[in-house]
Amino acid sequence: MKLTRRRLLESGAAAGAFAMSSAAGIRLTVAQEAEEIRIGTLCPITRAGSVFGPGIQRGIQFAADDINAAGGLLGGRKIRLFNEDTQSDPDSAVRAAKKLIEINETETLLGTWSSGVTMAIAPIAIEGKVVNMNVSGTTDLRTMDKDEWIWPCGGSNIAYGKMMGEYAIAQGYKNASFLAFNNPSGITLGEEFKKVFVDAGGTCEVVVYNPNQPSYRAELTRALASGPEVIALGSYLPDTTILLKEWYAMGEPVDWVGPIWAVSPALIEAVGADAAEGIVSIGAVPNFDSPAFESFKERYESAMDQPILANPFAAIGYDMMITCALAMEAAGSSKAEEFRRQIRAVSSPPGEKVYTVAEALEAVRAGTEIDYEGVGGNMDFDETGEAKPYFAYWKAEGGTLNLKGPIES
Amino acid sequence: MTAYLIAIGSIGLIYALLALGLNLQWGQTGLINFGHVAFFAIGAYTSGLLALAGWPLPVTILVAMIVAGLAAWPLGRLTLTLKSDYLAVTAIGFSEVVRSVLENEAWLSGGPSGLPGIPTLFSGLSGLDRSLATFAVLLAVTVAVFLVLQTLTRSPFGRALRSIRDDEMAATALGKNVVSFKTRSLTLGAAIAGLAGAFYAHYLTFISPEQFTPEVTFNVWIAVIIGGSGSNPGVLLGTLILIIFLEGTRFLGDLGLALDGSQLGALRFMIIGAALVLCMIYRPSGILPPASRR
Repeated sequence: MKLTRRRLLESGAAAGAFAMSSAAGIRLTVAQEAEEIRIGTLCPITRAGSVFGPGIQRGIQFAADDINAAGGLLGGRKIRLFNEDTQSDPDSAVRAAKKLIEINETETLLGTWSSGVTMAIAPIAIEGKVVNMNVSGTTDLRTMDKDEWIWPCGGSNIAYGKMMGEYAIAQGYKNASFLAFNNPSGITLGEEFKKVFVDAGGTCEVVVYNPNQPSYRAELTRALASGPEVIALGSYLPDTTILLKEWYAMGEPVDWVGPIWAVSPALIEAVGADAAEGIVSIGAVPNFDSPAFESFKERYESAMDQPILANPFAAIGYDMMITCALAMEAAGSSKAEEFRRQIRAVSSPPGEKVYTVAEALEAVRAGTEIDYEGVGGNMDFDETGEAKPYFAYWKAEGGTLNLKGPIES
Repeated sequence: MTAYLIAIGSIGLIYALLALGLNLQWGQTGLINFGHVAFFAIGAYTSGLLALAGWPLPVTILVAMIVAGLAAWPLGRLTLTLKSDYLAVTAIGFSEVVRSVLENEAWLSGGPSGLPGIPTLFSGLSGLDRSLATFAVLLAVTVAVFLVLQTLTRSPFGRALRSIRDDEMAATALGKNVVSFKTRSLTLGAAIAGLAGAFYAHYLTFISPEQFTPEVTFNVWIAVIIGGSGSNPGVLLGTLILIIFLEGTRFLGDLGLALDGSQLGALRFMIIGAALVLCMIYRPSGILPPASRR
């Protein structure tokens, strides 16, 4: 093994250049004004979550802009965001989280998506004394000991399953089948749907199917065997496409209801208007009643060139940032250890309902007990520490998915 | 800062172990193992599950190595008698089978939800002390593996492996039992990957099947190829460069470029890709190729 000096120099140069540019980046961040409040965003910018990540990050950015425009927090301190990409992958997310915590010295990580990512960074956040707000749906997040460090805000799979069940009951269905994709999301949706539906006096059979099959005819036949009035889905777009096409070819009448990530405009496009006619989609919707909603919608749609309803998590991203800011103001501190104890107090009842950043900050400074109502959801955290968004249903009519109305629980 | 560097260093050492294992198989023996991640996963799950069942960590890590090595043995016996390219296909298939099993056998692996709460090494310590201690152990283990592999490379066993790599016919004609040598190389490399997996599980404390995609295999291949296939020091350097590419590009965002989040995300991958292409153009046999290949 012979190593010439020249060779070593050459190979070292590239590595050195990289290391130096990194070091410059670090100095740059450390040299900035010390009193800025440092917030990390940890969204899925690339790969599987890239349909949501950039929108969530933009929502958080809007909130930071609004807070800064309102004069900042804690006597004029401005918010500075540090953005990292989880690459929708737990391993990359862990390294990104370490970087945000260690290098950028943030004590708040907002916007993680997908259960694997949030489960992987949760221990780091708790040990590093960092607050995390996420839009992950796994039920593990409800049951784990979060000690007010971890805050799921996007609605869990239980919430989705329950909403689908409530919808089915409200429609007067008595006999249902549930087709569940074999993963925790699909199975939890199915279990919760069945529970709600059976409690209301219905009968329901859950059929679990394995992913990535070219055909789901056997499972479909099983789901139809009990003669259901409705088939509910705990599924994703690719498998739902195959299921619907096969069902349409079979010609057996039945109603369909599924979650928004499966039953979307893309599905109607994939299966055609005829096969999709009448299928119902259940999904999270922003808080239409909030006075702050219209202006958020306009800003978002012009910045992202995408209808606000295409990404319900974007508005929730906005609410995460505002909630943390209000908690900081209420606690009189930007330290996660201290302000996390105020998160529930400023966002959940009891208290005076507040909607915009300016009025909320004013109320907190006046010492009023508030209940912040977001543009994405009401940010009311239940006893498990989870906030649910609002839910509504859509119906496919003549090739378009039309928003029909809210679902009350 | 220190904690971040230790975190990157620990992940880097885990990748270095994976790369050393692959280098024994590919660099020394010429085995095209596109399923390296399978043994990484087997090691991670074995050690993680046993630790959750209350076994002491040094034992679980050792068992993880043995189980990963044993998993490679039948694969080797079945495929190594075939012409060598078949191993590539079989191995990538095997790694997908392992991932499918982990995804579907929820009673064993926790299914797609993964395994949360895996005990860490040095659970008595906390924070920085624990990361430092873990890093020190990983460093010692990596150095030990490196030294063993260096000795092995210079031994008659290593020479036999290289002769098989360069000309299988000639090695057979000289009376070497080619299948046996290849199987031993595959098994040993897999055991090292299992060791890496065990450390990975205890380091992250959470594992799920989505962490064991073929991408891991190909990252390790990148490290081996840019470092210099066949050279253990080269492979270590290759891992270092890979980690610098993957992590160094994160700091782009802090330089204040006028790009939004999604553009930065895409730019990172473009830079990583371009750097790898440049490495291959200017150093086609790696940055530190073994002496015989210069």
